[in-house]
Amino acid sequence: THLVDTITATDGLFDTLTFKPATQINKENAYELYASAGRYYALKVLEKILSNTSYYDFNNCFNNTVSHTDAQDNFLWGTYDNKPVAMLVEGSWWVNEATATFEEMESLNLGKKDRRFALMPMPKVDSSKLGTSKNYNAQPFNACVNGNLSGEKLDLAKEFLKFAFTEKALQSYTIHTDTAVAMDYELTTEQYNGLSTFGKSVWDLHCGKAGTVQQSFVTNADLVSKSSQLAFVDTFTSKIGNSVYNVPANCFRERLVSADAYFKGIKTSFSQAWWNANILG
Amino acid sequence: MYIVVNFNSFLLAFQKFEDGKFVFAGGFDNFKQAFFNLKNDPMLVHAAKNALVYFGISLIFSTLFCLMFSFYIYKKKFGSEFFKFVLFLPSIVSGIIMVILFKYMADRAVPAFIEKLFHKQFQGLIADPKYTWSTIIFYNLFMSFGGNMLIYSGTMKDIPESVVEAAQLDGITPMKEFFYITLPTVYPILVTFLVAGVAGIFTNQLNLFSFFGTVVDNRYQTFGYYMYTKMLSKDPFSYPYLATLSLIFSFISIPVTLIARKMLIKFGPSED
Repeated sequence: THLVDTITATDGLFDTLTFKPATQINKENAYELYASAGRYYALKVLEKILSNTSYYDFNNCFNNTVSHTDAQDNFLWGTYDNKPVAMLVEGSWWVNEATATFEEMESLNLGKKDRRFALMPMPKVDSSKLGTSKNYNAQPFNACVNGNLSGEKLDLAKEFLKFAFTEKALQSYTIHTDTAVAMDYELTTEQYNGLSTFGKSVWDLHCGKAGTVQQSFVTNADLVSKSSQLAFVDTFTSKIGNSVYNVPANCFRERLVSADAYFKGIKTSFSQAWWNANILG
Repeated sequence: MYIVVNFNSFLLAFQKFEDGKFVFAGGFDNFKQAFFNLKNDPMLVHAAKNALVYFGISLIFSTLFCLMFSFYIYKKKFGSEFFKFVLFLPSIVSGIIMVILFKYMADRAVPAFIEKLFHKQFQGLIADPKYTWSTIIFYNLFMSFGGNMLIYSGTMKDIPESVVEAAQLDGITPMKEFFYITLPTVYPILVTFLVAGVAGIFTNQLNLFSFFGTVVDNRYQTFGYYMYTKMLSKDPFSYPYLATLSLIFSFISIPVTLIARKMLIKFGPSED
């Protein structure tokens, strides 16, 4: 990633950025990652979307009674209700969450097998990045065995876990769920052809035909011990003057601050002093 | 009693989580981190401000409107039984259900009404940031109103009828009756509520978790919500820090609560 040094205002969606020279990131200076260019671009895109009420669903986007499954329903029923929705920001699991809605729509020939959905990778910032690798986030998963087991039962539990991750079991998982496990395994041509359009797009991503899967968990023991301080949800806190913001979407919607100012405020929030007190201390 | 119940919190404030267990850190690192964050962590700074704002508003609301309304019900004025039922109903319904009902009313029913009546788009009382904070405060005041009112009016019923009748024979007006007879009787209850309110500055969540889950805009943050969501992360590494914060809050709220109680008893009205 690039670490942003300064922002120079110009025309266009993204300002000109100057980056810091290549920096070795270690435990002492990892706070510098809060100034990564990716964060900046994300804020700018969000600001653009919220700059005009025509660019987002004014009634539903900030409505606390609209859940993620409601958003899926709006997406699925959109065309039928003459309120088409272009895209849905979700994980690959969403088709299974929406199973009830798909079943409801089967009588209208709009069920799971009748639809043509696919995952679209996040667009690149600009044309210079086209053709470079894409990254996909794989959430960590856990398998647990009862700690009170021993002897034969413990052996059986371990054997079952091994079975769950055999090639055949993983293939069965993908065939039945249209999603992939973040493990290396193959599908036969027949199995692949049996997937829905969405399942095929997920599998193509999984195989790296369209991108690279990145794991999103920390293995560094020191950082694991500070995981609550590094919770992603808190890492967009921005200190600007005497004010502090933590939900950029609200700030941009209300025109409280610009994305540039918000980004600079993130660097102020997560300063070396904060890092020393909360992470290294 | 406080120390016995919170003994583990005391110990935890001087410990850290290492190699799967809590061990003594041998210093005041947790306190250093806590004081640094109390001064610099934006969440905590906002939490302090919001907690004090809500306390101030609820102080006026509880002491003024709740007492007045309780007096109205105690005097069995028009609709008093109905008001008693309606205002107490939210207290017996599950909190999360009340929040869900309120959210649907605020963010679906109200916008639909406004669009129908005035042909204007309205996001909702919670969704529209212009009204979010005041809506949250309104909801919490409304939810606390019923319980407080019931206790006040119940206490007012203990006022001997003969005292009231004698005062009425002497020509007392309703307002004077309230200030000279009713208020001194309920004053001990009022003191209890006020003192509990002071302690609540550091614990009151304002139902933020029920409204917003684990992510709430900083502007609405409270201490109670901050601690609760940090604890929800189930990260044992943060428990010593949270225990330290709790201790610091206790060291602040205990003397303040005791002083408040003493001042209220000393300078307040008495039944004599």
